[in-house]
Amino acid sequence: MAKKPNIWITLAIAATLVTVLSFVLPKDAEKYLGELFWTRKTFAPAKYNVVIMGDSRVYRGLSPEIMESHLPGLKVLNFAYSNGGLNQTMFVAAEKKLAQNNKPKVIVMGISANAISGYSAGNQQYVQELNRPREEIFERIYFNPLRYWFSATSPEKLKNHFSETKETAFYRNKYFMNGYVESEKFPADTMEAIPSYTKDFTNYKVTPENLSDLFKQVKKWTDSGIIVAGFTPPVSQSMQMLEDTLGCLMKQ
Amino acid sequence: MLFNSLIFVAFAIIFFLVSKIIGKNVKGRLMWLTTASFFFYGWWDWRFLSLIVISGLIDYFAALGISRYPGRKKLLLVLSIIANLGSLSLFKYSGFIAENIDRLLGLNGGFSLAANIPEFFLITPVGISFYTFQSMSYTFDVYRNKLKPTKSILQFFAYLSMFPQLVAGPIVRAETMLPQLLEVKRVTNDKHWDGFQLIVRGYFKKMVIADNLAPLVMAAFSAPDINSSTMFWWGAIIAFAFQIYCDFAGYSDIARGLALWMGYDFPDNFNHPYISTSIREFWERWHISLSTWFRDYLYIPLGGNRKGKFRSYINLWITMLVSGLWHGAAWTFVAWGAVHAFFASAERLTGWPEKIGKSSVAKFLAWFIVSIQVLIAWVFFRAENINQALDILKVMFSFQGPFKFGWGLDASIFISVIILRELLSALHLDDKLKGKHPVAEMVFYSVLIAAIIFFRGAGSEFIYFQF
Repeated sequence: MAKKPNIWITLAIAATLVTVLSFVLPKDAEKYLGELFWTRKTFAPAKYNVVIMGDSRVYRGLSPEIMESHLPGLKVLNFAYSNGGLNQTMFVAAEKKLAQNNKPKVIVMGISANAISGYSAGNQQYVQELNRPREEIFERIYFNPLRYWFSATSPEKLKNHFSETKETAFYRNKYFMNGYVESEKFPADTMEAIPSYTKDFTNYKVTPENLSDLFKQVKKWTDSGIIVAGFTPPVSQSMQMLEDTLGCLMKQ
Repeated sequence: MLFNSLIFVAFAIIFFLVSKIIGKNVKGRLMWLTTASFFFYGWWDWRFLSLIVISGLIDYFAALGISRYPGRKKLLLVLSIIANLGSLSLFKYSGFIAENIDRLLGLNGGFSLAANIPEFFLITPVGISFYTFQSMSYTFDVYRNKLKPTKSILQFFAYLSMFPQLVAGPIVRAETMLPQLLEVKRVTNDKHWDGFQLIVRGYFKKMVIADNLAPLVMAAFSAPDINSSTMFWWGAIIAFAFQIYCDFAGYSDIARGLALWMGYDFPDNFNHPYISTSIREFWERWHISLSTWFRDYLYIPLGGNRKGKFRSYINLWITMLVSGLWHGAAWTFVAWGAVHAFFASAERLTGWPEKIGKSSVAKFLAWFIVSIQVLIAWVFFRAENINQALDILKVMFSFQGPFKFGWGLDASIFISVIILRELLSALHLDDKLKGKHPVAEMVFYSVLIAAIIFFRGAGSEFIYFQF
């Protein structure tokens, strides 16, 4: 029996307790892996042969893992962001992720009205990630895997986690470090975002200047030997109609 | 660098490892302590290191001058005060002063003083009020012949910049600290354990209690419309009272624990303030190093209680208002000081805490009244502006809305934990248990560590950093 308390014994008991609890308590992937995901995407090294650009539909829609299985020997990065624009800031950033080797260099663009129009001109999410304090970037990259394992919780969260009641609505994201996010929303509602997009397209439309800038960049890239591909991310019929008409994507 | 960041943990491990290698070499220890402290501060913004250096050099040389040229000691003291308060005013109060001059002269339309202040001066350097006051106290003590100035500039800067207390106190007096820096004490196992307890308790207070209450308080005060429920606001202000207490006392505990591991003793900064049964007692228990600083270097030099009753009230009000302003460049802080001055004056005038008797019921009643007074004052401290504070107080005393604090399960549990802790202290049960059950103590601190890891709130800065 210890006569006096000892720091090392206390730390050993604490380590055992924390290890056991880390297996039992719920993990917060959304927070810790989400943060790690965005930081790693933003500061990804220049080692990719295929770089995909676009908005949230693109990072939720194209899995580099699946693409790599069809493109043996090539490395693919999904470099899309929420409100990620097809504009100069993102063109420069995406090009910097391309590897300088003998393999082909490919840029894939997910073309949507939001990504081309002034709506995404600020590239808000990308700029926010880029400008994080260095301490935060360092902590996210090196400590977040540890933080995820020892995820913070609360009495309320524990009550919900261990209670029998089934979730009636959820929005889950699974983060892949190649830039892809596998999202699951329940219940799915294709009309939910229409009102807010209607507002966005009323304020921001695709203009001839937007398209001209895009074509100039495509020409610049193709002239320098970069292969450029574009596609329209699939959306619901109502969204497609909204983009084509109010967003002026089709008109232009 | 924040105590509650992993970077700090890495910094602390390196600091203590190198300290161990340096061993008993006093000069080496002072050099390492100063270098590490400058690095600790410079991590936030290296440009403001120059402020600590300049403020320190002024007081170092002023104190030497005061000792060598007694005939000019008043002049040297005044020069030191002007330099210290000048830099404090420039970096902490220039925006506030300019805004008020603008308002007074009606300069809002065209030219405005506030809009013309260079951006650099609008950044309040972290901890400026703490290290400036610490530096000034050194010169004051030398002036009053309470202290001999040190000739070692290294010893002086090690004292002034000591990283555990550099940015948020406790404000350590030179007479306490300078001799300790020259001693090389062996840190016993008991001291290591005491330091460990303080550090773990400090992290628990900050990361589990304060950081989990912060979102609730933030949501209440930043909502565009004032909530109209009386109980909601009492709940929010009780939550804030514990948030600020655990945030600041947590920092002080960590600082004191680190100091113990380094072989130094820092004074206690908090002594369970919320069990006070008078406002006077509250100030003897809350932010002790600051309240004693104001007592010794402002209230007593103003005449204290020695120049008659009326003057003593004036001195009390001046001290409280300046103390309020010390906390921040806003009228809300001045109002907080004024509210405390008002309650303290009423208490001194009537002597009500003594008059109501010493029975348990009387003590409980006194505690209840003082708690209400302290909570009312906190409304001004936390509110975004005076108007918001007045609106909140109106709701708090209008007795309307549902009879619910609106805390939710998380806040209810965290507040209950801290209330229980304070209750144990009020009944002196924690002292009775201390050291009697070593195994239980070790298990208890292990549980606290697990709680810090799994129940940590969203990491945020310490509230007192901004002061």
